[in-house]
Amino acid sequence: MSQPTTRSTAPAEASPRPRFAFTRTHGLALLLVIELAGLGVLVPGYLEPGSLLDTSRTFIETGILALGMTFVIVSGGIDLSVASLLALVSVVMGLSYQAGLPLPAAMFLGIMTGIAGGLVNGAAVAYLGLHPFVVTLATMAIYRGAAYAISNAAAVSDFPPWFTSIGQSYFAGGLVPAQLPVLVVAALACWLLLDRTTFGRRVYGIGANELATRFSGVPVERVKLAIYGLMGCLVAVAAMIQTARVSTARANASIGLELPVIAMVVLGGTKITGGAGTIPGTVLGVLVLAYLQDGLVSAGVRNDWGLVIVGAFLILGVLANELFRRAPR
Amino acid sequence: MSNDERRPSRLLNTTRRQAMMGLGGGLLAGASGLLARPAFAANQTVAFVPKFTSDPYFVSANQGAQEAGKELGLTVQYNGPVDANVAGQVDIVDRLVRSRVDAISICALDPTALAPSLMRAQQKGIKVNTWDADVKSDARQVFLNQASYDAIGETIADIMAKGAGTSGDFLMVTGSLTASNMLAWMKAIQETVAKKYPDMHIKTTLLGEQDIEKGKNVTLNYLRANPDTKGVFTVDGIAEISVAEAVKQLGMSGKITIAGIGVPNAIRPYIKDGIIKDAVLWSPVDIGYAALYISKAQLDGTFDPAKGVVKAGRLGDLKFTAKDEVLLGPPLVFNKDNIDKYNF
Repeated sequence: MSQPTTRSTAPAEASPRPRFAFTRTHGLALLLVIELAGLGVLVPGYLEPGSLLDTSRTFIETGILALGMTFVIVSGGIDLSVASLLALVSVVMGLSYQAGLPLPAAMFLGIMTGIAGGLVNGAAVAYLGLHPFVVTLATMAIYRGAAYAISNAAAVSDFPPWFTSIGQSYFAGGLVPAQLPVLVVAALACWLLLDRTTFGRRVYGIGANELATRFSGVPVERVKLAIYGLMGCLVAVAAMIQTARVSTARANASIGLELPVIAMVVLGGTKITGGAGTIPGTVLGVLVLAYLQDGLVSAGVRNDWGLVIVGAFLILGVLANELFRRAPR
Repeated sequence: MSNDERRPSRLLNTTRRQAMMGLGGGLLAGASGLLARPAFAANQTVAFVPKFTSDPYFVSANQGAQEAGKELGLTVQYNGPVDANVAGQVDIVDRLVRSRVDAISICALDPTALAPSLMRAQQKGIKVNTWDADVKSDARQVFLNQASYDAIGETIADIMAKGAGTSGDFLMVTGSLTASNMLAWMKAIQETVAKKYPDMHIKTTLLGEQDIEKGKNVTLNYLRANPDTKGVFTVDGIAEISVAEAVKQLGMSGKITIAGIGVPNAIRPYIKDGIIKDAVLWSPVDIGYAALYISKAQLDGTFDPAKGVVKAGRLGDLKFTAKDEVLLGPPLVFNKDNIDKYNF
């Protein structure tokens, strides 16, 4: 129950107890606490700070993608191509490094690839007026196919230690994984952007009622382009971290990762049809699902059940969003 | 925050919410019901990690691992990625390290990507061995090699000599001219032939590209043009199917001997028809079984290359081929009599 209720501005007549509104975010925070307590019982030492922090290494990339995906889904869109684009970024960076480019330049090229991949999605959605599901289903195949084609399914593995330390080192006495601050900073920045800026308001507006938003003078196309571009940029950041973490760039990286990403966002309270959703909610969605998956494996459950859990939580998330929703907006 | 969050609760929704909480709680309880056994079991736990969990080959390996686990009083935790996803396997290993298993026995998807995680595991006192597919040598204590390339090459050449005699013209079909394992098997077959059967002439090597149809077509064309061919060597499991299919189509069963690598489930019908008499591979069940015995020796501190051997239950003593490499044993030959014992 860590969520403050500072924004509870409920009219008094609507409820006999207006002071505290138990929201979906509170429910999720409570679920996280129960879940961690349960795992603490099942797995000895699971709740030690070192262990909890170390576990974050398994969901930092997914978490970064979920932040971007929140913008996309709140705006009424979807991006199925994130995992494929991640592999493409990784392969582009790895191969250009192997071909003799200095690594920082290769990383820059990788980031550009990510942003370009996102902008292609955004342009097709905004300017061609195609449905984001179709666009990103297509680019999911295109980016993955391109990654396989240019890498010839071979892996690049000989990255220098300074690079792999991005994903494999720790600070603060070996407790905090080096990549964790990236997620924290990205989450704060995304929260500010979505909750505190005009851009963020426009994202909600487009998702809630695109036509009305357009008639209020919002350049809908440009905003959409920016949303998918931001998604692509975050994909590239996640690609850097993952490549560093597994010291390998290869075309089959993160296959199927779009599913947990979308599940986490929806579980976090983002409405799958757009218009509602928050970054704190997404962060909680990431934590709940990631610690559950990790904890069960640690407790000896076969990893195969992880997929079942993700699927179940996707449905549970959508269902919860419906149940917690009141009058239609 | 969305508008939803600012609205106060209403009586009606409270029941719905309770229903939701119940659902969530039920799921958590259900999930914990999946636990095979509590993680705090008194005996030592070995994590047995395949490249991916669902492949019959790895399921067979797990069978052997569980069998050895029972004999040794070890808890064997079979866990790996759902598909051939390197990052997924790295995640699994990291989790195993956190959950403090006593040993890890792994078939690595990538020799370098898995190395940092396995090195961390070793730093925390977890014993690590690899089987079937190795990692960089400082990331594990020992590699269990399923079968030496030389022994496989020699066994294949012997099968050929037994079936087709020691002289005449022969063909070789391979899946790839670049894959290192196939190149090594080809070399071993050729060397054995040159040494033991100098009158066998391998006229040419055709490329099947690990495609059944393609391999069949190149073999058909060659055999039509060279009907005197006495036998065909196959260097990968898919080439074996291609060649068997070609021989069947030409009605030359019994006239042409097929000798090579074969996977039981794929060649079962040809073995039953007599188109293929013997095929060579190794037993994944035995790999899993042996890997666990090696883990046990590592845990007990009895693992010592200086001894020259590792005890492996029903498999007897396994020999060291290097100070950090143990050989499973001679290759396994499948034929009509034993093929039904294997399901992978």
